[in-house]
Amino acid sequence: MEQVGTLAYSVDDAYTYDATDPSNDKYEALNTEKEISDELYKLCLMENFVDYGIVYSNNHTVGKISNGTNALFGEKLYTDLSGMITRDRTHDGWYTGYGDNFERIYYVKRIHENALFCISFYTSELDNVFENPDNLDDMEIRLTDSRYKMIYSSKKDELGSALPEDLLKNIDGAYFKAVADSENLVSVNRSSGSWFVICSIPTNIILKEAASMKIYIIFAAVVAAILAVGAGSVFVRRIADPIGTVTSGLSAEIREDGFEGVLGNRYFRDKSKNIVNKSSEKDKRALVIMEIDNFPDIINKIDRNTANKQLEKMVLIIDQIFRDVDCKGRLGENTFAVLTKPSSAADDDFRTEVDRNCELVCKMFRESLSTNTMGTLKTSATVGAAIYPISGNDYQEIFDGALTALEDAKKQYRGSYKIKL
Amino acid sequence: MNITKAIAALTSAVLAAGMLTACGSSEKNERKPQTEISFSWWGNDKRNKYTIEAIEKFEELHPDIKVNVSYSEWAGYEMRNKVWMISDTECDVMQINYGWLSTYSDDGSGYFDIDALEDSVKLDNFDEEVLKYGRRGGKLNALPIAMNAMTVYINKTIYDNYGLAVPATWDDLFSAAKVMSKDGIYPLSASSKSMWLYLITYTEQATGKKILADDGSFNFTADDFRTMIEFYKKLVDEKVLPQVEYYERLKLDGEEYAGSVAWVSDANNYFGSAIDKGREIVIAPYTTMAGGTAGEGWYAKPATMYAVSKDTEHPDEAAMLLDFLLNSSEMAELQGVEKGIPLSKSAQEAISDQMRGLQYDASQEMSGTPMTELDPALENGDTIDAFFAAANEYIFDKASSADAAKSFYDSLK
Repeated sequence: MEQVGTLAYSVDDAYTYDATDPSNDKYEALNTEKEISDELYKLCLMENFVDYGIVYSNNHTVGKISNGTNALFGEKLYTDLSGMITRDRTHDGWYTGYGDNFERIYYVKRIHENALFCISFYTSELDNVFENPDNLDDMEIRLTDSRYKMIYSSKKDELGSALPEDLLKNIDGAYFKAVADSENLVSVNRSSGSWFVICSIPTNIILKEAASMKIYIIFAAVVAAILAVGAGSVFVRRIADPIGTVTSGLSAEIREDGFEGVLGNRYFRDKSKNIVNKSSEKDKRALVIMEIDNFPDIINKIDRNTANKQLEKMVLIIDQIFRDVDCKGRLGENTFAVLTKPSSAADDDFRTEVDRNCELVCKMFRESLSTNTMGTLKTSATVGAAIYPISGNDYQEIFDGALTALEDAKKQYRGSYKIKL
Repeated sequence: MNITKAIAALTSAVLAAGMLTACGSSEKNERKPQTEISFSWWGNDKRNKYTIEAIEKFEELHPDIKVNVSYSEWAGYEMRNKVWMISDTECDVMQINYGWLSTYSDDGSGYFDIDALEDSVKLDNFDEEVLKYGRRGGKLNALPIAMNAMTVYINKTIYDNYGLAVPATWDDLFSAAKVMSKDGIYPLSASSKSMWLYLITYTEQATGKKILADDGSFNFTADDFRTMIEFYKKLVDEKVLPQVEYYERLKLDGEEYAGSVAWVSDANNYFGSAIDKGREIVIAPYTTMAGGTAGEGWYAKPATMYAVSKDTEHPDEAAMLLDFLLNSSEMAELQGVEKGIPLSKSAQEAISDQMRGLQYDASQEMSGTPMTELDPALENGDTIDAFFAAANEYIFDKASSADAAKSFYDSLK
């Protein structure tokens, strides 16, 4: 959506024309506004946007600004949309819940001192975003704003209300977390706009599945024991433990993620967690998360092959820079992480070492690639890091800290780094 | 469900946070064991909301069918539809404008022949007279939802405040403007298409000629368009109606406009807020010259229609959706008379208790007045844009009325 918004800058008059200028010739102004409007309509032609237009400081609008939005904001159209801009660098922002209306989500970007660009879409469109690959009838997905008010919920009647307390108690304040209690298995992840995606499945559903699996697993264990007496008790013990079996199977799927020595997301987190949580305060560790910027652009504007080479390059850089590595992993398509220990015993040296390594990752990754149609595409990586025990007392805290640092670095500028202290 | 799947799904859902910037994409997962069909329409917030709700009900009734929706307000939608139709990427089921039958299916080959879907679509809910609107080249290309016509809506509360009667003639409107304009109020208002059709009404009454000949070609001369352009400027100059570029629908809510020329189907959309505030909104007689004949120069047409893509890969599922949209009590109850009085008999029965209110009154007024069938050519957006561009040349002293009219007339050839 932000990219479609940026397309408005391809219309020259859209960012230069000022409808509030009293010296505008009325006839010329009408024609200019019609031209801008026609171009904007073309740009959003195939999108289910409610709004895609420009709002001037005198509340005059050009392009597609719906009656619904006009009615919702009234005389405060320009001033209140201006208040939705929260990101200084890109002078834009996201908002929902205006006037307690959670049916629309707004993206606003300042064009010039007297004009804003405004896009909105219905929250019901989020069904497209949260559609799941598996048919999990029992899983509930919710998107909340930073105050945990629900912008989207797979339970339709919850829209606009607060996140249920039984979920909130487990994830309140966390940026990235998965937790199970007697009621729910819940996971949370913070998006770049400080909103949260929260997924949950009732624990009893999980346990019911586990129980039915147990019968099968025990039966399989008996057969395995007869057939493989020589394999010994270790093998049987593993197979007879249903949870162990699940973890084992899952680990096999995600142990390595296509790169030598690079663990899959879950295995990396399990291993890192074990190491950090068993560490004493003297055993310092740094968790460094590295994200390749504009990865979809590399795929779309160049090709998948080049994108894969960027991934390989990142793994190579990690190997070159980080010496005392406990483990390295891949957290997402374009996101990698390493857990490292200091190469020196001094406190200050480790802080400096992490700082230097983060800077080196950013520096070594920076590159300019040629595209077929869009000229040069600059690639970069943004880095966030946290240090145990300075940034947090357990793995979850330093993981959240590194993620926060990564988000802060992105806000600063792509290709930079931050360390959470 | 198994646990591995659950964990994988949870993980993928967690990662969905990073996908927020892709909102609006219609990309769908292909692994669901459902038949996916698509459905497009245009409309305001209210229509969008109840249509989405109806689709959810349809999916509940038919869990093996997934409907992907595409919608927006009217502005810009005509171009969107054109792109779909020309590129053969149109949705399986579509809300279409009456005029698009001529544009895309003059010989009947542009849309699916719904007669072939009669096992799933209850066509006996429609009179043959009604079905004729959707036939092209002997094929039933579309089914009409309701009938529509331009209507003059008046906020009688405002007129009463000024001691004015509900206007019936053009002179009444000019007289009202003399009184109301002192307070910055326009007696009437119209968006560009409504204004265009309203000006045609006046010009046909003033010249005694139809704008189109029987063969569909333009019958008006450059001089007739000059009459039309000059009358438009007079309406604007004397503050009877605002110039179309400065028309703002919400000024009806703010009572800066005391009335509107709009479709029957727009009644609640345009005046719902005023009615909620206790204002009396009435249907004025179709505007005429003093002593003129009711309905002269006014046109009626099917409000909107539903059609099926000629290339649909799922005609059975599309037919089920089509039948649901037109004939089901679920859709009828959600839609009510928002698009006008439904033409489907079963839909009418389902909402018999909703047959009242402003929209119903507007439908009744239309039904009781003899009108000409609106030729799709008169709804062509490019023609309307060209007319107002030429009119602006005259309004802003860039050309004489004769030159502006000739320039527009030449553009029609």
